[in-house]
Amino acid sequence: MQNALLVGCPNAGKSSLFNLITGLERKVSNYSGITVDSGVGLVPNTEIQIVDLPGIYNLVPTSIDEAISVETLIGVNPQIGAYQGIYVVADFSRFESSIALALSLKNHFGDKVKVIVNKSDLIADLKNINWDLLEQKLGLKVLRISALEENAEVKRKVTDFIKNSLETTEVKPNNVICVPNSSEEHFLWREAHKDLIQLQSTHTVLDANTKYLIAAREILNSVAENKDFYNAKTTYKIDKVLLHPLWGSIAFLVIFYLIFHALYTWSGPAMEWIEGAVTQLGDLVGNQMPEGMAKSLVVDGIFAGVGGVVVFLPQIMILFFLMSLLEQSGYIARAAVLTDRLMGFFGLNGKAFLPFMSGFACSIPAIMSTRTISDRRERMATLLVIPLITCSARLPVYVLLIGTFIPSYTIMGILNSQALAFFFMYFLGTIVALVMAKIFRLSMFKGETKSFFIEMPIYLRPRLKLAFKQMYRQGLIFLKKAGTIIFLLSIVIWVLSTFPRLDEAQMQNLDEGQITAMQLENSYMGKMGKLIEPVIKPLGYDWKIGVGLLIAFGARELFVAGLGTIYALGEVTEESLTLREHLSSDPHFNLAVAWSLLIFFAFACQCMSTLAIVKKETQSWKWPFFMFIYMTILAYVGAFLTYRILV
Amino acid sequence: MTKRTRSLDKVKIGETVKIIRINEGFHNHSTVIGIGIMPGDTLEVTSKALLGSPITIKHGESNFLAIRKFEASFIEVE
Repeated sequence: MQNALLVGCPNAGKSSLFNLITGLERKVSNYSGITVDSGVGLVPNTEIQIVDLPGIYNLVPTSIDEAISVETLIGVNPQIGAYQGIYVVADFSRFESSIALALSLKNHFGDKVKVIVNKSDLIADLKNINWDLLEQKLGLKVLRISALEENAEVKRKVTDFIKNSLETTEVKPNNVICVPNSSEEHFLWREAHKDLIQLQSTHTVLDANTKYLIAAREILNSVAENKDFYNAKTTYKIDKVLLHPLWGSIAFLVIFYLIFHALYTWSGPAMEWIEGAVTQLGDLVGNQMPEGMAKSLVVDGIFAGVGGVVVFLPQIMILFFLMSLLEQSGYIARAAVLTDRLMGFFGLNGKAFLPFMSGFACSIPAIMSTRTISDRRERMATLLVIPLITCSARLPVYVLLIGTFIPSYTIMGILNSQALAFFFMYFLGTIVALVMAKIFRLSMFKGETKSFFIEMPIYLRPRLKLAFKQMYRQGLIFLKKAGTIIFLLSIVIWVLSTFPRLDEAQMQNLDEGQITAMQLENSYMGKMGKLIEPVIKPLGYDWKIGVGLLIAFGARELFVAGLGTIYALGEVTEESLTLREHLSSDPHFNLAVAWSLLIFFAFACQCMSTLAIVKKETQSWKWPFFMFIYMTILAYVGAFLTYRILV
Repeated sequence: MTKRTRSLDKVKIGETVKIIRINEGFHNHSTVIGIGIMPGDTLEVTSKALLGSPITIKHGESNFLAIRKFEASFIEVE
């Protein structure tokens, strides 16, 4: 097995190239800092493994993700180990920096470094440069690929290039790499590279890097007639509006409101269609089966449980579709600029906006992406509040409760009350996350707010194909989860809510409705609910909601599945109702209870995977434990106050 | 005639200036070099966010950057 490393400036398209060659699907976007860990993939039908690395400008790491790239280059990343070639992915919109990076790598690794010129979508650029002269002056092999070429052609060219230029022996640096003292704290495997990395004064290191930049300029001046490789007039014009203090802020709010509005309203019809189909299918299957336990398991356990969750597929798909469009456009970095002032007020950095943004999808990648924040205390404060950002797992619960209990009417002619409530929940999560961050920055992670410096990518027209792919993939992940974990746990929930059965003596003198109710309350689930009832009563919940909340600590979607089963089992009539119909006909459920629940879900840390990733990223049990406790307290107190105010 | 030097945070929107030096204490010096910026280069201040920070700048034809006002004060320009 041979390893080939892909290195390059942030947002140079390394992951896109990686995906193209390996056929894998690593996340790609149009802003820096998406790749924060090394990733590997085999070139099909070969023994060659491609290693995708976080972006770097030079060998001076300023954050954990950059340090991982440097440590992989010196061969101490235990996940990669030895490798046989370094491929600098040079981006046309930042050509000079890419060449400077190649030169600094050449200083340490000689001609084991090769260059792949990417994103050259303007044919004029290619003609402008004397490529043979460039190769000669650089002293490194150069491959150029154009966006005009077919993917299959690019794939073949790059694969052949790598295949033919990989070394047979391990590539190692031929001299020590000097980094300033400030880089030291970002390294993960310090013990392993004592002899390979030397700490030096910031001055010395910066001077060396300036030399590479000067050398890169000289080379490019001599090989190109026109040094303006990429003229970004359109980006310049768009930014005049989108970064304008007034218009930019308005555009920011409009963009985000529209996303959540679309998410809520567009999904309506599709959701009703799935809901209808699930109910019909449940009835169809149920009618074929004889009365008894087996039928109850299928209809009340599986259809009411899993089916209740599956209806939220449209929301998940629309969310990821719209997020993909926004990420590809290059707007996210601008949003970080617009929010920097606000973030600064809360003791964070505009860069924290990027993890926050991915937190709307899922906390796990968001927590990982805090690696790009260079200040440790800022990073910890950001990491600890990310699970308060509304992730996609909260979507089903929000849609269910808002759709059932908040009356739908039009405000000011254009805004819908339910969509507004939905937007409010997203807004609330973000604001509370910021307030908590401020509290942490004033206590445990005290310190001055460090600098903010961000590059803004060129705007690109989002590719619909990529957005559809992302939507399809995330939809599939959601269905898979519903079909495996939720499916199994729905059966468990059904068993616990069905047994033990009442005996004859208990059923004497009761009518059918009373027996059904008593059976449910007498089950393991019912007993458990009754046990915790005193704790949740102040929040306005009865035992059924209490049980739902408890099982939601396993995964938030289980709240929907659990309530689906419990209500279906408590059903007396023959006609099966949807969960929304059940909830709205339950006299105990009202607007105050719904808001109290919404607040609870907004703040509670009901996700085991999040706690696991926090453990991994902080290398300690202390932080996941702390996170769980503070979020649970926040959820309980928040829900309590909400209920008291509204009831 | 030579213009007097000032720090980048004092530059108005739309002005194009030349970098003289980057002073001690600037946090992102290595990234700035990495992006390809050094003394002698010209920068255009393209916009300022609410309350004057961050400042967005354009370097060359395709480098768009944003920097906090406080940090911009470390960059001397003319």
